[in-house]
Amino acid sequence: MNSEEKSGVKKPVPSSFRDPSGFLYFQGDLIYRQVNIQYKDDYDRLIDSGLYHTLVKSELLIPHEEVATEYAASSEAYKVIKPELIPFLSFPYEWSFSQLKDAALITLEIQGKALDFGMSLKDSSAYNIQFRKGKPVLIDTLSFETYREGQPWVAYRQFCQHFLAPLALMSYADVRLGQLLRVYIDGIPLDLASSLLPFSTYMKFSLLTHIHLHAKSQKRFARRAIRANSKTMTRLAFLGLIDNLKSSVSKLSWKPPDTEWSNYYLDSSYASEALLHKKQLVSEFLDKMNPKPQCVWDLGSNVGLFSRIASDKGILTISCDMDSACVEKNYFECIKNQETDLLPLLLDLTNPSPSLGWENQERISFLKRKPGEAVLALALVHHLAISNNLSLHKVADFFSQICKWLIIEFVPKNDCQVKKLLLSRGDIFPNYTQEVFETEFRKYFTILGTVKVRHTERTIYWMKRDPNSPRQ
Amino acid sequence: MIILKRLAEWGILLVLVNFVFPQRVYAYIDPGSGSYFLQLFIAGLLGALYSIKIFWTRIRSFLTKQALPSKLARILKWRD
Repeated sequence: MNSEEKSGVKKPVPSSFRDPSGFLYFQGDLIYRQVNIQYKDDYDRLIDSGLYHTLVKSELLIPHEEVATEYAASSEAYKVIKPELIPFLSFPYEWSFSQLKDAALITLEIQGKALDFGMSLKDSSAYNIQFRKGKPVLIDTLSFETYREGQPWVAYRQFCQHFLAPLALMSYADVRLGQLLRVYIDGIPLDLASSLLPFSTYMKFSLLTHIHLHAKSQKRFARRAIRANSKTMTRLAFLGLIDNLKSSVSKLSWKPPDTEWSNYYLDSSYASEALLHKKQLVSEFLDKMNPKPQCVWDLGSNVGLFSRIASDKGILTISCDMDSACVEKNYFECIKNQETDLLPLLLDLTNPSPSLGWENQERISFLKRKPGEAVLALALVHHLAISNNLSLHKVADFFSQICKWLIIEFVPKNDCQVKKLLLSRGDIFPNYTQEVFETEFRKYFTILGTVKVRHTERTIYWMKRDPNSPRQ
Repeated sequence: MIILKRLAEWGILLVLVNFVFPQRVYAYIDPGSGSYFLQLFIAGLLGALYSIKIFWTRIRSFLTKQALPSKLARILKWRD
């Protein structure tokens, strides 16, 4: 890189403003993290103690390379590091129960390893964890500080709010309460979690302590100053706390129920031959895309049956569904098969994750993240058009904004699934026809392939966004 | 006697200085006073539970003549 590139425009990452130890910024497509002078001792300890090497080797921490300080974004720089780029960011409110649980467990594992090296996590935000090659990994290299004997864990409150409270609510109350993380960006307030959890959780020592008593303690000692020399916490007690949190999280469980959607392929009218034909068509269309897409979004992916056709070709595939049970089962499958190119996420396409946080820029909205160059929209359009009253024009317009390639299935009114949707409501959709569908999509896309799925009334289209598309 | 008196005076002075200029714990995130005090409150219990866990793991390892899990072995080495 020449000197011009080194001094190029540095665009700060909007979420990286809390920690004075350093910050992230983009320069072109590359991401850098400045380590400030005030973090020098802790950074040197992280590297020199061998903790960094141990964590990277165990795939618990994002690897980075140090680059020259000429890349720095300000004069306070001690070092500049270039972390490996996470190809697709996801946030805790988009994770299934087990994804959040795994993120919690690696946070505690990292804390355990850090203590072995005389360091400790100074924060435990769930947003510091991302999924990389199918596994959760810590992305904030500056999260460590030197462990001071006698000090309690400064990130204890954050851990309980970001991980333990949502997991306990999902496990003991309702899995949908995980969505509270979307409202409370710094984790679920413990008094709220305590009031929502059933009384039986008072009988569980860990939840009694870390949620219920914790909430009461927060109320009792609110606004009371903490004096460092007031009392101390021995190292053994510190290890006991981490071990107890680990065992609390490990014991929490949620068994995905057999919902209408998670059993879709077992219960639905899909003949196995039709399913095979559909898979074959998706595979052929993906193969024909030139150049090969770097990222595929499978919207309404169910348990990821078709997502895996893309991910098995080595394409990063974001597999989204609004049903928690589907996403959980999809994640189990990823773990079982050690899949590295598939990321299951919880997403309601009719209300996708918005931009959140300070200036609405801390957590980027789903649609503004790495675009899905190719989108799979299989057995989806009828839900958007009939269940959500969207005109086919709006549906076509939406897809033209999010992808270059589109593999989409049209499900006509005489299909049994559409008949089900119309059972309890009047048919106010005279324009929901294959002709209108084609007309509307042709305004934005060139239709490259059309094949009727065997033994069904459904049609699969393969399209490419028109260079002259109104949304181009 | 004088020495004891002096020590008492110094002790009172130290306590007063401590109240007038309390040492605060600074972290870039708010650890939360309630969260901080709760940890101190449960520290003894968690430490004791952890000691018992280590003790039983040692006994079990001895009885079954299995090697200690590497992580536990590391902790025991540090504790010893």
